Amino acid sequence: MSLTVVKGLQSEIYVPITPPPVWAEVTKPLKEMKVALATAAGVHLKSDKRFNLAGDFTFRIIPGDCDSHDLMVSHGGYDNGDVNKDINCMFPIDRLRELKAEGFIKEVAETHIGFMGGGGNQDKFKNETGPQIAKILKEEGVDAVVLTAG
Amino acid sequence: MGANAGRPNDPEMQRNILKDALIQLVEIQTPGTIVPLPYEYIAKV
Repeated sequence: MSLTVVKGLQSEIYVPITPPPVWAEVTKPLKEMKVALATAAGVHLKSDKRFNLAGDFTFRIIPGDCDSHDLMVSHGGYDNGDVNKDINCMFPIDRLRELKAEGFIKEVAETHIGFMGGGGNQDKFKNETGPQIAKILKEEGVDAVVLTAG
Repeated sequence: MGANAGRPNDPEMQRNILKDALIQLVEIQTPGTIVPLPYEYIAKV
């Protein structure tokens, strides 16, 4: 089978252009890593400000020692049915603590991040939100981040 | 969609998915690599 390739085709709708990945070499074993969670699934503390479901490029800090029952989701872009039953199916903070307890990782980060994907201002996400999140995690000495998304 | 880290209230599945994801952090040698995991969850809708 041969594929026909037409050069110069353009989408009629605007789509985000994904930049090439920045390859970060792993330099230590998992059992020596401090690990954070970052999620585009709209997770935040119940006491914190909800996301604007029409599009929101802000993020929320989620303390590493929070009670998972104090977390909730505001995100209009996916079925929240499962995550409303158990936040860990999108934000596995209790599981991360268990991995620390069994010595699989060294530490659960002090700070985790929730934001709302599925739209919003892509330039803001790329140039402001993303770098701000990375700075926070880097300053806390985080070695690895697990990202989930709705 | 909606349950990246496993079935709700299934700590074992969630823990294994998280572990497998972290193991791949060390094992993957090429950006953009996708590794299928052997977990299945059929939600009741």
